[in-house]
Amino acid sequence: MALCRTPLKQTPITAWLLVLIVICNNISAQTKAERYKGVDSFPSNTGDIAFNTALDDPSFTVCNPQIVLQYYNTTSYYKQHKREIEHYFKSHYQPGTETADQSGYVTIRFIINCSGQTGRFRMYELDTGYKPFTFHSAISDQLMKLAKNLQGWQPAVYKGKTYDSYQYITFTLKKGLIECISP
Amino acid sequence: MHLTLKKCVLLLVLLTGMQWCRSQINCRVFTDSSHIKACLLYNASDSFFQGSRKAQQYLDSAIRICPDFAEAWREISVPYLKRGDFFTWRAYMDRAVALKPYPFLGVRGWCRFKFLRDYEGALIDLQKFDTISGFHPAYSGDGNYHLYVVMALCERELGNYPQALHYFSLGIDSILSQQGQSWVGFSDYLHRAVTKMRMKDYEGALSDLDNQIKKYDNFAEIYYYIGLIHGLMHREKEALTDLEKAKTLVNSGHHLSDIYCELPDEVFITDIEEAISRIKKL
Repeated sequence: MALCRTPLKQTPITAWLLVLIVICNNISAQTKAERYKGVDSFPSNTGDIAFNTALDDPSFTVCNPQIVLQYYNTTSYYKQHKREIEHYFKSHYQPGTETADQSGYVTIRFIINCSGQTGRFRMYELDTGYKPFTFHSAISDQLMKLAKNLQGWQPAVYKGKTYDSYQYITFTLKKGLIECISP
Repeated sequence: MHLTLKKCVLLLVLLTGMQWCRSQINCRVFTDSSHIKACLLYNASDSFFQGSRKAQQYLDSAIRICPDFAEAWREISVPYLKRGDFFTWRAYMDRAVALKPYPFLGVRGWCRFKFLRDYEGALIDLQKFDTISGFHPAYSGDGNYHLYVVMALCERELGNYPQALHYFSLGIDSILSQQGQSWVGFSDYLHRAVTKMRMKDYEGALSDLDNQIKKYDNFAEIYYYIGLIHGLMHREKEALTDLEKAKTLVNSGHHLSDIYCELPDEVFITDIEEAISRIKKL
């Protein structure tokens, strides 16, 4: 004998209750999604860039992986030569076509080793609302290539000794044009 | 007392350090156990280098125990800001702002101005902060600027010159009349002078640079901008003398400088040399 379930009688009150339950469940799910779960493992230092065989030139070496300074720990080459660096990028960069929606921030972070060589370049792309964004490759690849080709870096020096250091350069782009370079 | 540049720089470094190396919180003010535990972890994180694994783990634990503890959200964000990961910085910082708009909206606005030159975004944050602070927005995180001066600089960079002058008036003239000359920022007159120069109000700009000299006169930017203005006023001989003085000051290390970012209106030796060469060609 087939069991027939009596269908729930749909009154206006039960309908509203169902809507309320769905809304509450959604809110509860959203709250759970936003709840901070923590970070399982932090790098030795925030912003560390580990060697990646798929991305990095194996001939680039870090002199002392235990101590890689940040650009602001010492007098950096970047801060002393910012105008030359700005001039280099602005004079070599060529904006492409169809750039109306190409606005936001491109940050390139890398290491200057104790010999003044650069490597382990990484790129972070954000829109104007600080959300992840993918710029046209004509823009992002070009900026990365220019950053990798920039010569003349000098290592960080502290108390007469040279150190490896992290540096980043952020390009503020407006419709594909470099509006400013920071820090 | 006449302050030397070295003393001023040391004072600024000290103030910067005080701002960035946040002070400990008195955990006794909290009554619930989760806040107390989070507060103790937050204070303990200060024993480690900023951005180190240990420091971040302590702050992460503080947030896990007490997600309402805004100070931990703010502090865990700082190394990401300083190291160019602005996405992660915003993710953490926005939680701090949501929990405690006062004072963290002001801090976020100032950081957007300083590190990203996001003048539009900074201005939105700072205008909201101005309102919730009861129109007493106080000073930037590094102690260098009154936030009205930061708002003036944002408006200036967005091309809104009359609005910039309005905020400069609040950040300089109102402070001067209410609190006295010593409360006016170290380089505020210079920034207003540069604004007036851009507006082609050369006499007004020179007047503010004169005020800057009376306040503190020993850094290159003052003479660089006097030189530019004299050049624009077709007083080339004076302009070259000013620019040479600016060059001497830059070469002896007397110029605006910051360990993280280029400062507003900061000049480099190449800027001065280009200006000299340009005026000599006239």
